[in-house]
Amino acid sequence: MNANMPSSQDPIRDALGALDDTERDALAHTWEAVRTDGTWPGVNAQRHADVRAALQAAIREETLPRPDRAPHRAPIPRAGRRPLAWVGAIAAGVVLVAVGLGLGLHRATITAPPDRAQTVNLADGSSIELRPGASVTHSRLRAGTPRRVMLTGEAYFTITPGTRFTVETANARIDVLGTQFSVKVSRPDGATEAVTEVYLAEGSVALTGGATEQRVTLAPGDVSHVVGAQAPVAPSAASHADLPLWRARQFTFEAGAPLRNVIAAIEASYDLRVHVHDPALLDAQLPFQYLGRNVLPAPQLLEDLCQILGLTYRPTSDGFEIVTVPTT
Amino acid sequence: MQRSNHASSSQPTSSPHSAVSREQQWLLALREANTEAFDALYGSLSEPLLRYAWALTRDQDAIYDIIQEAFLKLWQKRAELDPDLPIRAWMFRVVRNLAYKTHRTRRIRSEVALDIDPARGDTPESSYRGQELDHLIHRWVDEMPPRRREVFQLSRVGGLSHHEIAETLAISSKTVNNHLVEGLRFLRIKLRSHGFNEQNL
Repeated sequence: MNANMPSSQDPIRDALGALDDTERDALAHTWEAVRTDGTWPGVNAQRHADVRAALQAAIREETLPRPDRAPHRAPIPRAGRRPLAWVGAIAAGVVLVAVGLGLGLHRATITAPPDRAQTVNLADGSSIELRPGASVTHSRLRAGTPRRVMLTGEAYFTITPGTRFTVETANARIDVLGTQFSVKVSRPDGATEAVTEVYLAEGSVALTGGATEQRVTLAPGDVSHVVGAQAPVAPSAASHADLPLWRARQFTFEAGAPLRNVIAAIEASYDLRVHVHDPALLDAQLPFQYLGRNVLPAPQLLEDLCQILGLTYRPTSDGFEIVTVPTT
Repeated sequence: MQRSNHASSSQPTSSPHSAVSREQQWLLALREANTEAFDALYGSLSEPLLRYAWALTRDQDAIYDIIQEAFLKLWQKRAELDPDLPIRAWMFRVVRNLAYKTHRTRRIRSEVALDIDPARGDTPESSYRGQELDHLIHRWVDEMPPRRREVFQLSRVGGLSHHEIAETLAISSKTVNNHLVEGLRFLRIKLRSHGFNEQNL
């Protein structure tokens, strides 16, 4: 064996073994000349570490979404009731719609199911409480860069102090440093432009109108909003209506409240529609005060109410229908 | 989590049996969602994979994205991987596919094509300087038939064994041999034609 033969661990060794000595030596020389890619710029230590950190964060986050309150399981249907098959399907799916799956190949979308809120816990201790039907998309998992999420619907953000964080919506951007705030993205009926509303509970956020690059800074208790491509409006003190009351989901219906009011409250809190087969039912009144428990999944709330009113309900494509068919 | 010695070695072009069997051990642990095994595999495989991605794309930015995506895929597919097959080969295959995907995307955007270095001159004579040898070799490798080029790159840059190259490309070990020998013969002719010989190499 020629002294210039590559080491025993070299992948070329076997390939040359069958050749005659002269050619083997010549090709071994050639191999030595070409075996290293001299154009290789070397490992960029920072990028290498960033990828490692991003991967570690990604596999930690793979278990998300992690609900901290409501279980994902659909309620077990009682005898005589139709099983809530679609609720089960959504809950089971729960709707970790991951583009490129799970960890998201750079993008992962988490969507709260229509009948309950969903809390997303991030690796740095921050959390995003998604209103039913809302969704956030992580745009990129690279350590060292500000975390950036795209929001549709409404969510309440609690960001760990010191964390750079940006929320983007269809028409606005909110830049954050350690704070609590809510963002609601909507398209009012008949409007073509998106509206992004921001309520700041703690800390400080800057709201930028997507097309204007004009920004306003909110103080705690402030609200501001962006309509379409316009500049954000000057911040003002929040009124009761601006508060993210959907988070509490405390349902209190007084005795005598008509069903239409109850349905309006349910539709305002969840991303679903409640239809009533017989319009006369809308005037049916609650016989006594109803105090809904905090963070009640929609089917459970409906089940309680239907029991009180002697009605029953069934799932539809976009929510539920309340009907008079008596249960057995 | 500690990086393995193998990973910090400046010679990623070799895959000693011990390193390979260690990687297979990590693969077994990875199947049980062991995050330390995942990190150990990153430590062991990331540099050779980066070199390989570099050889295919010549894009300093894209290679880190490719590696990140490849390791994410490893984590996602961990339960489906056959622990008897070399994980090294599997990862090189993933990186290769991702690099070609990057290439396709770029081509659509009319950017530089894979394996073409815009900094390189077209005439070898004009660009022939000592430090240009690497570029020349790179271009000669590009001139090889596609399958031979792949075998050659996996061997040269990835440091894969015959068995691993055969696994990666789903060809026989004998075919791997033939490609390597033919590739070296071709490069030897090219080198000689540019004034390199056994003495001055």
